[in-house]
Amino acid sequence: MKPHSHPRPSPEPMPGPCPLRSILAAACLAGAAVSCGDRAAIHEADWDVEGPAPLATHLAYLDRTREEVVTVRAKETATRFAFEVVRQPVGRNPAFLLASADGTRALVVTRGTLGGPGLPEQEERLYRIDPAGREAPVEYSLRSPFDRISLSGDGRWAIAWFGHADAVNPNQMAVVRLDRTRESPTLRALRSYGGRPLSVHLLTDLPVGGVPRQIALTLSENYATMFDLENLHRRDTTIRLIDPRSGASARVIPEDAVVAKEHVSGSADEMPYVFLRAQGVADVYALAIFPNPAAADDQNDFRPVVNQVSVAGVPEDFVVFTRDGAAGERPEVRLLVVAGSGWRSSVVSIVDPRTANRWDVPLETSATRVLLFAFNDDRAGRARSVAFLWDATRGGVETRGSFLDLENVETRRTLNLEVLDLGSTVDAVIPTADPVKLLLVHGGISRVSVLNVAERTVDRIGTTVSVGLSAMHPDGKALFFAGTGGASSRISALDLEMRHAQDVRLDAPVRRLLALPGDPNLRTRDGRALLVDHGWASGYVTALPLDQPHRARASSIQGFLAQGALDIDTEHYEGTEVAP
Amino acid sequence: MNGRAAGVVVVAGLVLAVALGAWTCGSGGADGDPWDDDRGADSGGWEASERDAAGDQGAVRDAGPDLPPEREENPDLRVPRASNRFVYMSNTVADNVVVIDSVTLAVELVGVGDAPAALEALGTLDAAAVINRGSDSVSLIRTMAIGESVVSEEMVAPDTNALSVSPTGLYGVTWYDVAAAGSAPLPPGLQDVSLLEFDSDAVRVRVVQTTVASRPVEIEWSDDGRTAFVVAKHHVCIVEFETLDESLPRCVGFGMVSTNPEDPWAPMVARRVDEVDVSGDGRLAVLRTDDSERIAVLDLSDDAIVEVVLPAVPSDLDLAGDGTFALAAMRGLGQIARIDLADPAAPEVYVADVRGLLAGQITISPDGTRALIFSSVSREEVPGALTEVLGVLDVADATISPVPLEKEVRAIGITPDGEYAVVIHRKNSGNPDDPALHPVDDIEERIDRSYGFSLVHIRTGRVSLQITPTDPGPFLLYQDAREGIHKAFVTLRDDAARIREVRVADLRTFTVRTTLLGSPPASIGVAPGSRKVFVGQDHATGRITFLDARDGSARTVTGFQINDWIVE
Repeated sequence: MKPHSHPRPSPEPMPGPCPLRSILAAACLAGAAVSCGDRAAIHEADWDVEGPAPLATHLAYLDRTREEVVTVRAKETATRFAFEVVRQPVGRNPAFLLASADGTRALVVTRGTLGGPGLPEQEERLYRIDPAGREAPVEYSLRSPFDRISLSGDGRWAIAWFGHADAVNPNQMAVVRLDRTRESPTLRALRSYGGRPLSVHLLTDLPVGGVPRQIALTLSENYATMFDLENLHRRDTTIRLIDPRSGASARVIPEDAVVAKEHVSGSADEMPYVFLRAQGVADVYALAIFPNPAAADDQNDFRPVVNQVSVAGVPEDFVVFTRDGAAGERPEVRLLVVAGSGWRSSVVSIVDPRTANRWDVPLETSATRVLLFAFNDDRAGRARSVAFLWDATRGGVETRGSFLDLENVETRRTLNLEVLDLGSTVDAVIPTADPVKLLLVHGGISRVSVLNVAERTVDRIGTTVSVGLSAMHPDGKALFFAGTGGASSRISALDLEMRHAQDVRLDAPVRRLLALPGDPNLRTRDGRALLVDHGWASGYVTALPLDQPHRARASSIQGFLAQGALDIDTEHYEGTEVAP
Repeated sequence: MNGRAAGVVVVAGLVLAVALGAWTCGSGGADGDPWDDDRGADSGGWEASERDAAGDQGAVRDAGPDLPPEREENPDLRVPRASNRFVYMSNTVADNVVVIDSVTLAVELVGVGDAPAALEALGTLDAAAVINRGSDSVSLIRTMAIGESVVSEEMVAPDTNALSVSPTGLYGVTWYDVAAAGSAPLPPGLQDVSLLEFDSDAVRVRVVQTTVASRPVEIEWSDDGRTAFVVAKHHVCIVEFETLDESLPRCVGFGMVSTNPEDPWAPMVARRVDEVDVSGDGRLAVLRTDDSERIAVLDLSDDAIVEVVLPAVPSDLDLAGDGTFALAAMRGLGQIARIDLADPAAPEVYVADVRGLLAGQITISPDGTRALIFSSVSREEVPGALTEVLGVLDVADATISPVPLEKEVRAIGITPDGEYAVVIHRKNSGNPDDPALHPVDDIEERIDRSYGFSLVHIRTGRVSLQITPTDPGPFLLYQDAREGIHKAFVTLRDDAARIREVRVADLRTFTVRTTLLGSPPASIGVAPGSRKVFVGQDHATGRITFLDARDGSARTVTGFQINDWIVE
């Protein structure tokens, strides 16, 4: 099986910045191609492009038809933007595209092909692609048609897995070291009791016995499974999840996991905790991860111990926070659980994972979500931690939010609670870079408010926002949004400090807004831009400065997805795949 | 010889025995001896009985046949068990033993034999032994740290279902307990026992299979833990573990009694014995038969039996820990008797009147200096009975100090130093919040209709009543002389009312605070090494709450049965 060759691409020179009303040359080129007689099959194929996926400095598109990744970078010049487009081939039958954890690479999963007359066989692969094309794509042979990728936060690990039940073995997965270019992925069949993974979490640097451990956690119906990413020859550790109220035969569907890995116990017995919540189960499963020095060679040298902690109701959301320890002692970890307790009433349970002690704080409002804030309270002259709780139920009726001061909440309970009228129901909460400010997108009318957690104020903004047509400034200074309905050619930049919205008129309707932060590893501002995707099949992107978006400084590029359509190596796409 | 460890006494449920009785002759004592001074009952002093050990002069007095029997509540000995730092619990279904670290709450599942059932901790050795009923074996689990338990397994006599371990944790006995077996088929040998000898590190067990007298019912141990007394239907068998290889257990019969003492020609039958108390030094045993005024003192050194006839069938009998005397309550006579056992061959009996309270039960303090006298009978059963009083008997001079209570008594527990007691009260029928009752004028009735317990400082008679929303369940008294801690942990459970809590009482200040539990409490115990009191709870996947005996702080581990389903 000969791998598909990938010549190292070079950036294709593009014409200088196009004025907004320039000719759609690239699209026209594509049109010319399809008008020719005796067309190759590739020219007859539907044009199937996924994207864009926002990277740190680029937009990435996956051209499934031409089996290429197209990246676009907007480089800010003294006056406008210059665009750099790179096309890089990937393997056969690209399936999906995503950004690496730090956004500096595009990841593409291909299905490969069984091959056939004139068509070489090719296995399924994962590609790690430098969007600038300076490095050759790194290929990882997956050997199974996975349709999900889970990434570790540090970017070192990826796990490819099946998100559907139709796979030959839905419990098969491939573990990929993304920080190693020459290491083949390791295929692994998860121990199964009839279920399949519902989600995969990569828990990095868990301090087990004082040693940072890299552990994969998969959640499936009735089970949570852990395995050691650095010792893949060791067996799974499978934990049965049971709802004590329903008995061992009831289905337990785990929904989410959070990790506490710092200041857990404050003692020599310190161990990390993994908390799980499940549909309809009024408990939290607290998994303390202990070292297991007596493990056999093929066993994990860590072992989870399950503590099933009762909370006030079925958890809707949960989050870990740290509270100050007693004098001279280390901080302690707490779990905050938002639980429903009946129609339009909710309770917050504060749980000490070390003792499983629980303190309930009944809310005056209904709440399904929580966000934590830590900030210096200038008025009080001290650091504070506050939880903001709101109801994110679609079609809900709750128009109020709750603030719970976490200082001594175990003893003060409702004394630490404050309720604020948010004006209307909340569809989305968007964090900003300001540690005390949140954007609230209200339901129904999609109006926007700025919530100041420290001041407990809500400033309503006189505009409407569609959640899918908005982007937050990487520094949290502004919210960019387009008019609702998808037909507007106007975008707005809402200065969150001044609460002033500046409109910018563009030349085409907006399909997506993407605010690229620039390469976090570089000190340059290259690639840092507000990019507007206009949704053209042939590609149409407008770039604006992030800090002062203005029509006069806008630049656009069109047709870049169609570029080179006439120069396609049609032989590459010929051949007939045998029926599977 | 009750279960005590490191200054901690566990009482889960209640105390003493029940019977109605008669009386024997005392031999009298020397002049000036406080035991046989001819003090009148009013003085509360002991009075020599009119009967001697062998005599039966005088008629047996009516002990009050209309009175209901005293109700004895036995300790709740269900799992889990603690051995210093670790708590052990057998899991019959999964063939393993759950080990919980009372400090970190870490859980370990230790595989043992087939169908582990009866489990006992080995003193404070951080080890436990468990009988595997499915494989006729005993497993010894020694835990150095969670995840590092070591298991050894040895075969025992077939169908063994009961286990007893010496207070030191060095020896054990397994046997077939008919009462525990229920309707299961009988094993071939009802007298088969297995003697267990654990090494000092508790990592190995040596098993000696042997036989004792038929139908063992319980095992008692000498205070030094070297001798086991296998109490059987008609015998007590003495197992000297330090000479195990040299001699078989020696069985001493309870003797024969006439079917009709009035008829010298009446046939003799084996003595029926309902309760056997062996002295802590293993010197003697006291045998009691329900409905009989005759008790027997069995000298275990020479197998001699001396019968003592009390003035009435004792409604209760308690043997002092050191075996030097026994006290009997004779409720119908309004008397108590002291049976001096310094010379088992010639027991001396002294009596004292008890006035102002119903002397139905008697409990000797662990140090033997005091005894509490009370009755579990209710005024609803015996109108006018003086049941809201606790009598504190000074064993030395037989003076009785009444301690008035606000409610009637159901059960009593005493701290090892005899300083404090917890009295669990009876509840009269009726609703304490009945609107027909006047909130103030009927306060006595409202209290009587309530559940509750009282904390008693025995020496001063100070009492503090705690009204509870439900009947107190298993409780535990904790004493740590080194740290100066005297505490009571009382569980409360009412599933319908969702009451599930522990009342933690500081016996020095009588302050009480409540710890809410996540599930109904079912058992209580203590891990002396970590000073953690643990409350086992009914929960589908297992739940235990550990309470720090010093500050009362709680930690809970739930779902340790789930840990059974962790596959590695």
